[in-house]
Amino acid sequence: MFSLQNIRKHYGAFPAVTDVSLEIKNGESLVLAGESGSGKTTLCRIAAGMEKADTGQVILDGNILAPSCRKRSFSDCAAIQYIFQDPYHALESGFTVRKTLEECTRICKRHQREVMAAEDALAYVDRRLLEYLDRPVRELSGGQRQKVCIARALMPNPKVIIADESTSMLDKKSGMEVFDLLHRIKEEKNLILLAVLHDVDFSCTKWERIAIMYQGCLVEQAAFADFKTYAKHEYSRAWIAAYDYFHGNLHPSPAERAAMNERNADI
Amino acid sequence: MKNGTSGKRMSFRQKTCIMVLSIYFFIAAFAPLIMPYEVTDFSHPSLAEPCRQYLLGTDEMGHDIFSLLIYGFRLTVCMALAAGFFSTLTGTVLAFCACYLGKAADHVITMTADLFIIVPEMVIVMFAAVFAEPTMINTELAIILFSWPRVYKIIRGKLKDCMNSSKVQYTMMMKGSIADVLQKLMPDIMPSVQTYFILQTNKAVTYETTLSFFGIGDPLAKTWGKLIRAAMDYENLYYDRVFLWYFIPVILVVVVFVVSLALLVHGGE
Repeated sequence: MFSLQNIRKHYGAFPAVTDVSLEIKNGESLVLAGESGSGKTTLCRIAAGMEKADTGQVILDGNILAPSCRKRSFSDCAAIQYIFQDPYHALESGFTVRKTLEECTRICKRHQREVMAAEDALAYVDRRLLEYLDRPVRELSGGQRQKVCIARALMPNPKVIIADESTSMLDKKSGMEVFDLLHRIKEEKNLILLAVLHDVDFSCTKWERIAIMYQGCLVEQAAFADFKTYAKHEYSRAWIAAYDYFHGNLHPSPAERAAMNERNADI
Repeated sequence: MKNGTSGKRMSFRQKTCIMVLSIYFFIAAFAPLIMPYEVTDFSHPSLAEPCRQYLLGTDEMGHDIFSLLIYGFRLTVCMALAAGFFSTLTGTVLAFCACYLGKAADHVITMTADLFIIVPEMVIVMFAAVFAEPTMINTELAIILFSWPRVYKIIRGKLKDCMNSSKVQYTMMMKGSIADVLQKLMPDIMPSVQTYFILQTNKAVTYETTLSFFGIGDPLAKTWGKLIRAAMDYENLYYDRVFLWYFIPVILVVVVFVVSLALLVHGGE
C-alpha cells in the first residue's frame, strides 16, 4: 500500500498542491490527470522525495517515509522509482547504455541491495535493446531511451513506479509501447504504477483507477472503467469530452494494438 | 576521457594558438639548456649590442638579456599555469560545494564571492601584494585568492542548472555518492572549466607582469615583468636603439602569449 496523506506544498503564495490524500493498493495502477499547473508533477516529486512537502506524509507499506530523499533510507529511496518526462535529459548522452545501467548496480551493491543485472533488465524491457548495450546513449531514439530509463528503474526491484508524463516527448507509437511495457511490468511484478498522463488516447485501457487534479486539489477519484459515467466535477467532464477514447473511438483498437505489439516482437 | 570539446574539429586559429603555446611550454621546460648564461651572472660587459655571444645584448648591469628572457619563460609560464589552475580549481570546487551542500553553504560562499567581486580585482591583488612579504609565493597566492570569485560565479550558475537536470536528480534520488554525481556533472561543466583555466592563466600573466612592473612582488624573481621594469628604468632606453633588444622582445613575448591564450578560448566558442 502506497499512500499520500494530506500533502500540501505552496511555492510562496502559489498553492501547488493543497491537502491531497491518495491511496494505491499493491498491484494497482492509477492515472493522475489534470491540466498543466494543477500540481500533478509536484505531487509525484513529493512522493519520490525530490521535493519536500510543507505538511503531510508519504507512507509505503505502513512506514512513514522521511520528507526528502536525502533523509530517507536507501531501501526507501530504491523502492520508489521515478521515470522522468524527458528521456533526453534523464540519461547522460555520453555514457554507454551499460555504463548508465551499471550506475544503479554500483549504488545498490554499495548499500547491499539485491539488484537485477543490467543485461537482464534490458532484455526484460525489450530484447532488441541488447544490441545497443555498448553504444552511447546519444545514438538511441527517444522511445529507446525511455525504455532504458524503465530498465534502470526496474533494476533495484522497486515497489512503486512513478511515471511522470513519460510519453509526452515521444511519438504515438513509442508512447503506446512504453505504456504497454509499464503495464506488463506492473502485472508481472505486482508493482504500484502511478502515472501522470496528459493524453489518455495514447494509453491503453488497462488502467484501474483515475484521479483528477484541478488547481492543486484532488477533485475526483474513480475506477477508470466507471469514470465516464460517474464523473461529476466540471473539469472532469471537460476532460472526458476532450478525448476520443471516452467516445468509443480507440485508435488503434485493442485488437490492432495486440497485433502491433506482436509485430514489434518479431522485428 | 570523452567530452564535448574533444569530438569537435579544431579551427585553424586554435591550431595556430596551440602551436605557439607548445613552443612556449617547450622553451619553459628546457630553459636551463637554452640559456647561454646564468641569470645571476653579471660579469659581462654592460650595454653590449646584440652579437653572436649576447643574442639580445646585455643590460646596464651586465646581465645577458637573452638569458633573462628565456628564464622568464620558465618562471612566468609556470607561475601563470599554477595560478590559473588553482584559481579555477578553487572556484569550481567551491561552486560544487555551494550547489551540493545546500542553501546555507551556498549563501555564505556566494556572499564572500560577491564581496570580492565588488572591488576591481587588479586593485585588490595589488593591495594584498603590497602588504604581504614580497615573495613569489605571496604574489601567486594573492592572484589565486582574489581571482576565483569570477570562476565561481559562472560555474555555480552552470552547476545549478545541471544539478536540477533529471540525470543528476536520479543519482541524488538513489543516494549516489559524490563521485557518482560528479561523473554525471563532468561532461557538462568540463568545457566551461577548461575555458576558465585558459582565461585565468591569461589573467595571471597579465597580473604578474603588471605587479612586477609596478615593483610589487619578489625583487629577486627574474620574471618578464621585472625585465620590462628594468628596461623602463634605464633612462637612455630610447636614446639609442637599445629598446630594440632590451624592451621590444620581452613585450612581444608577453603579448603573443596573452593573445594566443585569449584566441584559443575565443576560437573554441
